Amino acid sequence: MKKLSAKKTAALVIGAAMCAAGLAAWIYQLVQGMQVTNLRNSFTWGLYMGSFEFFIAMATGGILAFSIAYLWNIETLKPFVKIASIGSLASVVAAGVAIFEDLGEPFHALYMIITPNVGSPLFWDVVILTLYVIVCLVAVVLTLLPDTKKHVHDRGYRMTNEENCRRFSFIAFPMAFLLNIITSFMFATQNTREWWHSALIPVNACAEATAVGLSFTILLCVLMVRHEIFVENSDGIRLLSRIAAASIAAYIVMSFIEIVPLAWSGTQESRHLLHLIFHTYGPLFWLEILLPLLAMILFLVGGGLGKELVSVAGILVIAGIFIQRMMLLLPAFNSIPLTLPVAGKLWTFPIAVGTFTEGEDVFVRFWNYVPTAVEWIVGILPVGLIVFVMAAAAILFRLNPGEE
Amino acid sequence: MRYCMVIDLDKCIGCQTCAVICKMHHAQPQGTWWNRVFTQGSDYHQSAVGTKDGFKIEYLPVSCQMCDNAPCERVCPTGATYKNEEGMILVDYDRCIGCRTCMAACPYGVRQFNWKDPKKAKEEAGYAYGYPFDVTEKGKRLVYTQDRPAGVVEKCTFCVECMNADGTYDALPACVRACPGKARYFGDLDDPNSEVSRLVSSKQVFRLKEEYGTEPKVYYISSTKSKNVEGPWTEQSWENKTPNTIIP
Repeated sequence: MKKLSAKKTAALVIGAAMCAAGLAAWIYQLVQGMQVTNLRNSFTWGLYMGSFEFFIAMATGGILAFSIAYLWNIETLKPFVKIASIGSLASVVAAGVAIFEDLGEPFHALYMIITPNVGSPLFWDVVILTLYVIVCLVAVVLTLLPDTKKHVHDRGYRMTNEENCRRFSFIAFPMAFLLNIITSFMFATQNTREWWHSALIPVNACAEATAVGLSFTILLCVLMVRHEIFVENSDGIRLLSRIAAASIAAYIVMSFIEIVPLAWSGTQESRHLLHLIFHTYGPLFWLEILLPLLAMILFLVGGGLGKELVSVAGILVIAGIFIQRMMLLLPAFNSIPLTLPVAGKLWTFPIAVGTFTEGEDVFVRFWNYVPTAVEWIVGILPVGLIVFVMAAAAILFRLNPGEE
Repeated sequence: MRYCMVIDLDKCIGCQTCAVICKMHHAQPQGTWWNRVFTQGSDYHQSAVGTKDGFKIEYLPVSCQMCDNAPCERVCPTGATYKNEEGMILVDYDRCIGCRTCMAACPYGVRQFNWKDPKKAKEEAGYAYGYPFDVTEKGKRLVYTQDRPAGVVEKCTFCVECMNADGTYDALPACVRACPGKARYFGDLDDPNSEVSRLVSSKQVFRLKEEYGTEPKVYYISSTKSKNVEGPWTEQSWENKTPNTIIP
């Protein structure tokens, strides 16, 4: 039996441990109810929904890298497509787990299939998520096929795998964007939330997803591709870095474009929302802009783009876009839609929190959402899943060209 | 048939009886309120709000607005939230997956999530209350049960438990019956002879946040009485007042 490398084994064990801890916390949440989270009636989505949105964006990168490699026949990208595709598969499964963690009654989920409401954006989100899992699976199988070439030839396949990959890219490429567009409809269609109700949100989601998805793919390549292959094919990584940098620029521009109509309208509601964005959550807003901005500079002016530099840039984008996904929720829920103008001031109708704690308000206009320890541990499960899948893939498959 | 509610704000005395009777009748656990009443513009209930013309008290009861174009219904992925033949927006507790998209979509903040098992919560409080029988629509959609499961969303049902199979009501909704000021009216908006239809067509009525296009079926008769209890003030005396001055 082949001896496993210490790094791969360690990653597998860490991933499994994270999954076990997350799963245990999730079971605890299912038994105790979602009171163990810091979510309440006025603030209904938090870390789990933010993570779901984040993993959806991360899942975009691998399939984009795969499609770009074959649609434009970029040879220097092809050594990375195995890792990229598996990264996308792991991320989209993580997104599925994150959204399940957010369900109060996950055992009723079958009704999404039995009695679906086809008008619901969430229903279509589940559809696109399922289709995207299939897309990722096909991409993974196609990229791994050369390893099982003999088996394929025995079954009488005529086309080369390269042609299959290219043809499949015509489906995979738009699907990567469709995933983000449809997921963002869950927010963009809600006209009662000023922070979400924008036609720009789906477009911006594509830019954010391209940036963070490709950054994640680059990071995976740094971690998992052998050094000589990485250096030999650095043109491919450089291309991904430049696309990520351009996407970051588009994201930052669109983020400020979103602010302009808010500031321009000058209504009390929009002034309140702007106060939340720039004052209450100001540090987070600037982090979601500045971290990717710094990464963009690193990606663009990084010269030879050494492993360290792209790793730092990748981490900055991941951190920035995760904060951005949380910022989609924080000001939105604390800008309660039922407001009335009273005596020249905007008055917000309080909302019952849904739980009772002696000495604390039952009706609130603002909820200071900070995830509880249980939420953080539950939130580790999808991250652990990604670590576990990538480590298992590294052990089971030959992810580097020429690897034995 | 389209059931609707009309609330006369001139008659509302802000006593919260409607909120409490609703809570008791529908076995709502601690922290959950299907119906709530607040003093408009004030941080404290029953405290006056200062305006340039003096102090003013005006109450606003808000429960599910039973929208004709309900965003909660449109976003529900399983069809757990639905509109019945009588135009009421209801939640089928057996189908609700607790995704809370409906809560994010509702502009009125009336939807309540069961963050913990309501039965356990009431047991911990040491008492049980509420209408004890399950109510199903068309024999299969569970729209009321005394102890809703943890992890599902609930809200005002226009007291669906009082409705007969043919859509008629034996007893009016609890909040309508309990209101000491008789501020609430309930009936069929499609019936031109109903009291609610006459009120809607003859009185100065408004609906909450109509700009969202939700087409609510809860109408408010605008307050016409002057509730000023002090004033008018001079420009100088106004400047010395805080907006939410409390009347002892």
